[in-house]
Amino acid sequence: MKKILLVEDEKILAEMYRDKFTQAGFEVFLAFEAKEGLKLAEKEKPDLVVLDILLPKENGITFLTWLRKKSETSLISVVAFSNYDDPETKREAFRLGVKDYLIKTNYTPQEIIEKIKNYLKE
Amino acid sequence: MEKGEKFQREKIGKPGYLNENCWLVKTLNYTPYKRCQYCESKFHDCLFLHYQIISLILIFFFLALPFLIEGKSSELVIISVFTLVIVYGYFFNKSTDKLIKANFEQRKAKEALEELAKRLEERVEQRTKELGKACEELKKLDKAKSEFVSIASHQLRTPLTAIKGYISMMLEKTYGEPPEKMEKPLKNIYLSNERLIKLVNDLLNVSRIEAGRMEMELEKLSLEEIITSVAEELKNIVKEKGIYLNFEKPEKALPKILADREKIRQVIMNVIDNAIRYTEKGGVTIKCKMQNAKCKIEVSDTGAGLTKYELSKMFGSFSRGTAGTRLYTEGVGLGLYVARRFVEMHNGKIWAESKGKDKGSTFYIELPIK
Repeated sequence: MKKILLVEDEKILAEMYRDKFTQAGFEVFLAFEAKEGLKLAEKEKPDLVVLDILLPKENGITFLTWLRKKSETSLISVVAFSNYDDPETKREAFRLGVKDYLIKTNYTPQEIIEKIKNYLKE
Repeated sequence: MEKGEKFQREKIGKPGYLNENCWLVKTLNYTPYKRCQYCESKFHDCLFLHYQIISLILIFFFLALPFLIEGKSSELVIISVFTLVIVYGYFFNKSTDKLIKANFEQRKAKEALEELAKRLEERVEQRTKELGKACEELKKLDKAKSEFVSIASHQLRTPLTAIKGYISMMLEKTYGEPPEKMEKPLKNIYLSNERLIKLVNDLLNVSRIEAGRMEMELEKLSLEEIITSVAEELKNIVKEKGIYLNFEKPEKALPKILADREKIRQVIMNVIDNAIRYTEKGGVTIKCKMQNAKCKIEVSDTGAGLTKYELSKMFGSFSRGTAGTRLYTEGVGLGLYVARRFVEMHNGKIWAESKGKDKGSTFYIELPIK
């Protein structure tokens, strides 16, 4: 079973995606903050991180920087998944090696599942 | 020294004015005659000095010389010479006064002009500084506005994402089979939510376009693929309205164009979505072809049509055809404005043609390959 780490601070969205991902057959780990996410990434070594960008305290970009610095997590695939689509933030995320930068409102949870499956195939 | 400095500060024409060029004035450290206040000439150009020299020569020739030669001078000659010198001095004084005063007036006018120019320069400089400051403030404000719109859009999108996600999962029967009569309301909620999402996206785009912060991510893309995917996305709305949406593909595939995928997709989406929105009977036909080394997309509908006035205003921000008031339509007319700006960013052209009200309309998008 593929492992997905979902870093998302909006409780309603986090639960919705967790339910959908679980139903699609993934093992889902949920973190509401960047630090919590990093700990889970180190512990669980997920196959893919679905990362929100605007998070409380440290944001998604800081999370990405931490993730890339640690040797045991530096190669984990990440997909930025946010409703915040500031061009500069997008560029920074791509510089830190995200596979894609998805705008949440543009996709239904089912479409996200399709995307995730494709990323995991790559 | 202190006195000298004080004098130097006085302006020409004032009693304390000290002409630095005049040897006599400089040596005496005060202006011996009233008119010296107006004079800026050097000592050897001093008209009073000339008068004195001429007087001395006169006295010497008519008075001293006969005395030296003959040993005496007649009293009459002495009186005549002094009278001559005094009368000559009086007229000399009068005529040179005028000359010096005229020079002074000229000088005064020149100084006033210089002063004015200086003050004008200072004011221009000050205004430029103020304008620069205001411009900086505006830039800051503009950046803050853009950031605010980005954050506000994010905040708006979050609940919209939840609505979209849950409704789509309900329609996909994730939570079990919904009651039959629930299906249509759920679809309507979903479609309304999609409209809201589109509106938020349009607002965000307009804000970025206006702030000049819109960026391009160019790649080689196929227009036919994008049109097909947009048509696929809109097929449910078309079905609901009971109209048709046909994409007549060209016989020979179009070459790929270098463009921003998201933006071109949005242009095509906005134009087709607009055509569907204003079409109640019949439907929408999409064609694309190569013309003059450019890709041309045609979106024709059998809908409300456009008046000449509407055609001229169509692609401005916040405008909408009068059909928008006649029929129930969503949107505030941002879509076509965003489309125009995106097409222009690709050095392309977008325009519309219509034979008039209720006679349908055709939208054209022309994009260069590179």
